[in-house]
Order: sequence, then structure tokens, then C-alpha cells
Amino acid sequence: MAVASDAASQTAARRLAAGAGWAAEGASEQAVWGSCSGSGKVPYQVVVELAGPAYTCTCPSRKFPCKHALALLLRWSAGSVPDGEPPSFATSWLQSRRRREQGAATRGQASKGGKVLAEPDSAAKRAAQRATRVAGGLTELDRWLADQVRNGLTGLQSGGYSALDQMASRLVDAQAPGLARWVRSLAGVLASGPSWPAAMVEELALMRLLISAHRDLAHWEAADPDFAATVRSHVGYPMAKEDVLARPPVTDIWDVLAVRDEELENLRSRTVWLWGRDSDRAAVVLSFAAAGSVLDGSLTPGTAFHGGLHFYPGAGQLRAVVDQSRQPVGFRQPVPRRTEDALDRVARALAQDPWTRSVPVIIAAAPVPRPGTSDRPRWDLLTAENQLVPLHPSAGQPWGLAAESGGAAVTQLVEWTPGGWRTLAFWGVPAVVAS
Amino acid sequence: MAHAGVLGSASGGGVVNPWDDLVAAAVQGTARRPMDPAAWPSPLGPIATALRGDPAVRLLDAAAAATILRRAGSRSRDGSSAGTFVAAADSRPEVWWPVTSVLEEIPSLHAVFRDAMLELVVTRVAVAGQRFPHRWLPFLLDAAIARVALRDPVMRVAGDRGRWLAEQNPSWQSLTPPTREPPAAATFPRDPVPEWAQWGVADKVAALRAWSADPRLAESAALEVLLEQALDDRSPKVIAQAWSALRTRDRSAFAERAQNRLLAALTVRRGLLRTTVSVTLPPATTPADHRDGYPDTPLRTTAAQRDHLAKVAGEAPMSAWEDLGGPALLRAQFSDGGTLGDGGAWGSIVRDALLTRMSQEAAAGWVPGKEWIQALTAGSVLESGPVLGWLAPHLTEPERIRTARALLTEATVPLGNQPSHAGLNRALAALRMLASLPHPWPQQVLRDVTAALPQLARLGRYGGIGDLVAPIVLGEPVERLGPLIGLLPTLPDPGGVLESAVRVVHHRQTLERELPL
Repeated sequence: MAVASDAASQTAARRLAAGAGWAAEGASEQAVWGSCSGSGKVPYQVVVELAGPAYTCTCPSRKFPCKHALALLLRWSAGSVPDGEPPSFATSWLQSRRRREQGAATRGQASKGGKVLAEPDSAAKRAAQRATRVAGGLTELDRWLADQVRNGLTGLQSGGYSALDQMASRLVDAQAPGLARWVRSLAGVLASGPSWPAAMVEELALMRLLISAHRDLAHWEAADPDFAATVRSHVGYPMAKEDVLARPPVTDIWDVLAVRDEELENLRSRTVWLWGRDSDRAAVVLSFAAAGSVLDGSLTPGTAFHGGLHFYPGAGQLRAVVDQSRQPVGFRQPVPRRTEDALDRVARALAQDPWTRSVPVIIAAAPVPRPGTSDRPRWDLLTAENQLVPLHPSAGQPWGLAAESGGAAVTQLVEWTPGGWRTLAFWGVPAVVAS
Repeated sequence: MAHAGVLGSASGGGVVNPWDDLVAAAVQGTARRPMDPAAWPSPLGPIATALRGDPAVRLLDAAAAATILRRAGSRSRDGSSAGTFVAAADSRPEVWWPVTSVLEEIPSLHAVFRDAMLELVVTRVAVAGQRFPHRWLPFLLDAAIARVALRDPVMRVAGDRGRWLAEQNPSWQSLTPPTREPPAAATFPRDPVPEWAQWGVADKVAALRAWSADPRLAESAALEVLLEQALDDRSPKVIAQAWSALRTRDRSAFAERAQNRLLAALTVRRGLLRTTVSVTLPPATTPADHRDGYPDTPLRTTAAQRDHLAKVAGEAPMSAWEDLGGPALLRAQFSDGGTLGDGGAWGSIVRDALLTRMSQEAAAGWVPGKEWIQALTAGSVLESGPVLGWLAPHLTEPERIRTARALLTEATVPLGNQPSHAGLNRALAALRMLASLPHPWPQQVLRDVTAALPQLARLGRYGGIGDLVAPIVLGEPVERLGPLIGLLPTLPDPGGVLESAVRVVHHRQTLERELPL
């Protein structure tokens, strides 16, 4: 369901997948197909090519993939679709894709051979159309933001989730899914407690900053392509995995430091944090799976490999894809940095990407409850240099970590976030800090 | 965390805090309450002042600059005073992972095994001079807080690191109490009357509770005077605390009043074959009764009469029962004395109240004489769990074994085609009787229990089967449990208790392999 453009599509797809309107379903190693009864007389014909994945459907929805394609994938992943031979509508679509791919490969080879071929008109046209749509959506969001501040944030509170959802839906239509997700997440800010207005001002202001940066995207493309890529990434421009793999890898010995699994509705996600020994660079590898499916287990904390990571474009980008060729080597516990160095790293990351919500750093610290008699105190991290930084409230009562540290600073991979610091992994030996 | 006094939320001394000003304007709306950047200090003041255009957009742009300054300008706080508590190094070796796995699986065991298994594993690790990985300390300390019996073994295995951790958390601090003299006797005033009336309700209740629990004040006449005075207090809470304290004082005026009520209610006649008891109750309670905790109710209905009799019987001290005939009352025939209904029902009420009272007295140190023991082990009263709980330690080992085997034999005699619940109760009574026997039990006892299990387990939904097997799988030497472990998987086990019993045996085998004594 990670491919769904929004939550509404996910919900609709789940409902559709459980329904009885499916016929002529089948699956092969390459594709899955089926017919789904809709509001019209003729059922919609849906095909999903699994390698991409790529989708086609005869329904009129502008969402991509549409709910029918998502529902078909859900049924297939649940084992409800039998194996079979593709019908003519699936065969013809798959063949046309093959032809297009072959044509693109030929053009790519010609380009590598030194001949510069003109971009196909259609691709340029699609890009221009998308840019126009995104710009329109962002202009509308800009007006909406100003309206909230002009009329007062209390109005936003009384408007509730539906007002946010309405704005987010417009951004989905404008092909700005990153901003759409962000707008939806404001519901959580509204419910975050008494200090929600300050948190809301931060979020709206950073959205406004992103809109301004996007307005000058052409300038940034020329002046600072990395920053331009950061802007595009936060707005939600798509980035194909093959395009990421085509970028030059950062080759290093990568220690796998931490892993975190999360489950949201029917989607499981795994985040793996790595650290490059020579590059001193942090990386994050994401993988997704449907609920009940197995997540990628190829990166295990406490292991290391020599190989390349292809980073997504963008300034200070953490997300990367692991190159297929990698050699296992022995794991080495990371060396913590001084508190000031860690804070400087955070500041540099924010200078490159003001919208980032996560900056991993390695420090030596122990969790300490704030003085008082409360059974559930707030906690800080006390670093080896006797400096305090606040733990994120989601850390709860980290007594397990306190027991491991015994009050002494231990090496930790921590994540700076706007709400506080979060421990991602720790190594329970009193740490020696790198000078 | 942010540049203090410039962007943070703290403001003072008449200087406008930019962030507070921004948020206030955004909440109220710039149409009603514009921001005033001219009054802001640098660096944000000049930035915001230079902005032009729509005030709402200017606010968002200024807030964006402020947000980035706040986040990128995060600074740590001085923690010199927070870093003084570091645990001493624990030189004990960490247990091998199979032992940690046993600990890890305890929460998934059936409830009947959890505490005992936890006690077993922590004791074994402590005896071996080893320790669990430190991350398990919160789990162990929580368990020690929940179960007093686990405190000593847990704190032994927790070691210095565990004590250090317990001192950090108010919820665990009771596990590391400072050693000091209990204050109750020292603070009890010799003549408390003059100030007592001015005390608050909570103070009175707390003081009465503390003083009445202090064994050094058990014979204190001054305390009794105070407790009697508390019976006239205006607060029901104070009165209830006074009742609770007075009914444990065997030679008090309160006890004497309770004895008089019992003697007035029961008339005992000793016959050649058996003792008979007739019950006579007054038509209504008196103000003196009300002061001692009896409700102001006419005793006209059967329900009111039953409640009154139960209270009279339950409040009477053991000395009153001894005066009435002692153990013979357990087998006495009851009659209604001409005023009440079914005499047998009154007998049950009196017997239950007497047994409960005996349990309470035994907990406070009363030791039953031989006649009491004979009376208690001869009849069906043994099926009452509370009786067995305190009686078994007063029996000799042969008496316990003989009684338990007799109960087991009775338990497995089927009534018709179905096993009887009474049989199960007898089997459980037998197990309670055996629970205080040191392991290993005599071979014949173990065989009897194992042989009784299939029939008892046929009452599938009966959860008490766990109570039958728990003392065996937890206490008997592992090498003697082969027949039982072979049998358990073949029995009905809807609650999963027998499956847990088998796992307990495997865990014990792991402990014996990894931590041999």
C-alpha cells in the first residue's frame, strides 16, 4: 500500500479488495490482472506489472495507481488470485510496455555512445504538465496558509480533520503527495497538547518556506541542484529506484547500527540506520511490506559490509539504496563524538535541509530523569561532557537504558528530532569520546 | 535549548519575546492582532522588520526564520549537577543466554506458575553468583514491587546496579528502605486525649493504623482508651479504623462486649452423643451495638438475622468460643431456639464465621490445641482453603501425609458418571496440605496425585488443575517428573495450564544444566 497516493485510496482499495465484484482474475510471474465491476455497465480492466510496479486501468480516476489496481494487488498478496494465462487486454498492454522499454534502452545506449538525442516530446510535455499542476497546488496551499494565520489558528482547530483533509486532497490532485501527507499530519499537531499553537506555527511556517523555495526552483536547479532536489523531495516529486541506482555510489565500510520496524494499518516498514567509517556519513535504508509479509532482513544490526550506497538526490539526504555487490566485514562499534560536534552536525544538516526531522548522531550519554518526585518524569540525555539534551517524549520512561548505563555515558546512536532526541541503539560499555 | 532570551519561550524584564509575539499573533489572527517586530531583539527583529507585504505572509516568513534559528541553534544545558549518581561496577558474570530465555518466557507462562518460577530462577542465579543482563532490572524490580515474597530474591540478584536503579525511581524506592527504627511506638503519646480532637481525619486514620499494627502497643491501655474514644468520632473512616483495630485485641472491653453478644445468642447443650446449639437473637440492635459497628436495623427479616448472627459470631474472640465448648461446636447440631428458621443454616453461618475467625487469630499467633486439630482434620471443614492455609503447619508430617492421602482417595471416588466438584475440592485440599511438606514428597504421595489427575482433569473448565500440578512441577526433583510430564499432554487443557507446567519442567532442566548447584 506504500504505492497508494493517499489514505483515501488505501481505504477504498481495501474495501474493494474484500468485495465480490472481481472476475477474470489471474497472475503470472510478470503481472496480475482482473476485471472489476464499477458504476458503469462495463467492468474496469486492471493490469499490474509486478516488476515496476506499473499499472493500467480503464477507470476514469486521475489517481495513480487507482483504487482498482491497489485492490488487485491486495487480493494478489493475500493469495486470492489464481495463476493463469493473461487475457488479451493484459497481453497487449504488457507488450506495448516492452516496446517502450526497448525503445528507451536503445535511446540510452545511443546517448552513452555520444549521440545526444532529443527528449521525446511526450516526456517533456508530461513534466511541464506536472510542474504546472504542482505550482497551482502550492499557490493554493500558500493562500490557505495565509488564511489560517490571518483569521487565527483557533479556526484551524475548530475546522478539525476535514478541513485539513480537504486541503491535502487538493495537493494530491496537484501531484504534490509529500506536502499532502504533511498537511494531513497537522491533525496530530492539533492534538499534541497545550503547546500545539507554537508547534503549528512552526509547521505552517516551514510549509510556507518550502512553497517559496519551490517557486524559485528553476533558480535553485542552476545554483544549487542538491538543494533543488531536497525541495522536490519534500514536495513529493517521484524518484524511481532505477534513477537512484544510476547515481554514483558512496563506497565505504558501512556498519549497520540500528533497525526500527513500524506497522501502520496494513503496511509494515523497516528503517535501518548505517554509518560509513571513512565517509563519516549516516544512511537510512527503508523497506516496506504488506502486513503479514516478511520485511527485508538483509541488513542486521551488529554486522558490516564493504560496498556502495546510492543516496537519493538532495542536500544532506540520508535515504539510500544498497548496491547489490557488497562484501561482509567485521562490525566495529562506532566512536562517539563530543556533544558540541554532534550539535554542529545537527545545525549543518538543518542548514542543508531546513525541513528535515531526523539527524542521526553518535554521542556518549546516559539517560537521567529530571529532578523531582514524579513517577513519570521527563528525561534528558546526560552526555560524557556533562551536557544535557532533552529526550523525545516518546522515549517514555527509559529505565532499561538507564539500567544498562548505570548512570555512566555509553555510546549511543541518537536521532535529533524537533521534539527531542531519540535513542536508536546503544552499546553498553562506558564510552570513550573521540576528541 | 534555543538561544536563551532571544527566541525561546521565556520572556521577562519588559523585552518582547519574538516567538511568543509570533505565536500570539498567529493564534488570534493577524487581522486582529498584528505582530510587532520593531520591538524584537536581534537577530530576528531586523529580519522580520525588513519583510514587506501581507501581514499574514510576513508572519509565516518570520516564523520560518525563527523556527530554523531555534532548531539549528539548539544548545545543550549544563548537567554538572545531574551527573553525580553512577552505579558501582557489577563484577558478577552475566548469565548465559538460555537462563535469560527462561526469564524472558515467564510472562507467557500460566499465572499460577509465574511468581514461583521467577523466584526459582532469580534465587538460582543469585546462588550461582551471577547476574542477569542489566536491561532486565526494570522487569525484576516491577515484579518485586508487585509481590512482597519476591523482594529478597530479586534484590539479591539485582545487586548494586539494581539497588542503584531502584533508588532512581520513586516507584521502586521502597525496595531499598533506609534502616531505621519504626516510629510508631516512639511517637505514640502517653496521654493522647487532649490533642486528639484537633487532628484531621487522615491523620487519625493513619495514626490508628500504625499504632494498632505495632506489637509493642498490643497491651497498651492508653491505646485502647484512644480506640474506644475513636468509636465516638464523627468520621466513619476513623470509626471503621477503630473497629478494625479493636477486634484484634483479645482482652479489650470491645472483646468482652463481643463475647457477651455471642453468649447471649448461642445456648449450648452437651448431650451423650452430640452437642446441640440453639440460636436466639434479640428483636433489634441497641445503641451500644451500633457503637460497636452493628447496623441500626430491626432483626425481623431472615436476611437481617443472618447478617447479625454472622457478625456476632465473627466478632467474638477465641476465648469466647473456648468458653462455649470449643471444637465440639464444629460438629454441633444447631436448632432455631424457637425464634428462627432452619437450624442447619444457622449452623453453617456460625461455623463459617468461626473458621474465618480462627484463620485471623492464627495469623495473629493463636496456636490451635490438639482437640481443635482433631476436629478440623476429621470433617469436611478441611475443604475450606483458608483453614488449610493456617492449619497445615500445625500438623506433623505424618499427620499431613495421612490426611492428604485420605482426601485424595475421597476425591477420586466418582459420583455417578461425572467427577464431582466436591472431589476436586478435596484434591485441592490435599494439595494444600502437602504444599508445606518439604520436597521430595514420599513416592506414594506423588503416585497418588499423578493417578488422580486424569479424573480431575475431566472437568475441563476447572482452572484449579493448575493448583494441583504447580507445587509438584515447581518443587519435586526434575528426575522424578518423567511420568507426570508424559501424562500432562494427554489431558484436557483448555486454559493452557498443563502446557505451561511442561514448559516449567523444561525451564528447570535448563537451570540445572546451566547453573548446577
